[in-house]
Amino acid sequence: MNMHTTIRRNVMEVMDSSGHTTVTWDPTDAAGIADARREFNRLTRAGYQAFRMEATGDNVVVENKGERITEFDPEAGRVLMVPQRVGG
Amino acid sequence: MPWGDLLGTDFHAANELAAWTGGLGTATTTATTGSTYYWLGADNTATATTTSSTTQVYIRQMMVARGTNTVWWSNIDDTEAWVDQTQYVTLSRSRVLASQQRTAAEMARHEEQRRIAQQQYELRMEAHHAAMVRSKDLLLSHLTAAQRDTFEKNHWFVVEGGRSRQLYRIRNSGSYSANIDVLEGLPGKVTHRLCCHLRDGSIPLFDHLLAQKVWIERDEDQFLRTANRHAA
Repeated sequence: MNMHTTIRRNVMEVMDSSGHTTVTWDPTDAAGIADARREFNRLTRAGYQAFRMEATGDNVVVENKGERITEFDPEAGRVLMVPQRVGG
Repeated sequence: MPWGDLLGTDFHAANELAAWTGGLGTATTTATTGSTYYWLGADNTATATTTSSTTQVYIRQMMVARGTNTVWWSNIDDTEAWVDQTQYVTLSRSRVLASQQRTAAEMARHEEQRRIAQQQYELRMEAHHAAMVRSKDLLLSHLTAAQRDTFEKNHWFVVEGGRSRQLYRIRNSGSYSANIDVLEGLPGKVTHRLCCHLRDGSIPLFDHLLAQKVWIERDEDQFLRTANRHAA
């Protein structure tokens, strides 16, 4: 009997000079959550803003949904980390 | 200073002196016993008749002031300065050979430096291109179908302010400077432009455009407080 287990992966997209990097975690895995939370906290301390993006099952972002967050939410399916801004 | 390093200078100085004296290199001088004669710029064609037992070439670094009859001599160690003519020519040739070898080495080193710089440049350009592709992929994954369509066709997309419902047009003009048009009415008169982008300029352009979209949609008030206004 073949058993297929689908592991849900939440993702944090971090804007940087490489285009972006991603941090993923399984919301049922405590260790993965801890790593992602640590990275989230490091980035927000560095001045990044975090936005939870409401995404459908295939990770397509729904426009105008989602919000800015200041605490790591392990259940957030897709989080966008945006560095500091400046007026030009 | 090694006296070999003076040879080139002395040849030059000899030419200057020759011009000044009316051709020292070919002049005939009657020597007086007990006097010392300095012979500059000796070469294979030079001949000398002296009353002393030794024909010597005295090498000094010399400067000739143009337009005057004044010659300045710099002092060098006499033990290095006195050589005979054969040594002079031999060392002169050595000097030329050494110069040629050094030039070849320098050219090789220069070529190696150029090759490394070119390699580093190509790596940087490759990384930059990859970063642009990644940032564009990220932006497109956050656009709606309609926004993607206008962005691919016209290099802009329209977003709606999360609080005000004001329409903004974010343009890819090749820069993130004052690239946000504030629209009024339909089809959209531009009332003014806004400039607000990521502080880190090393982040590729499409990340700036995505950040602008997210700020307008989800953090509009703070975005407007930061953005600078520019005339349309």
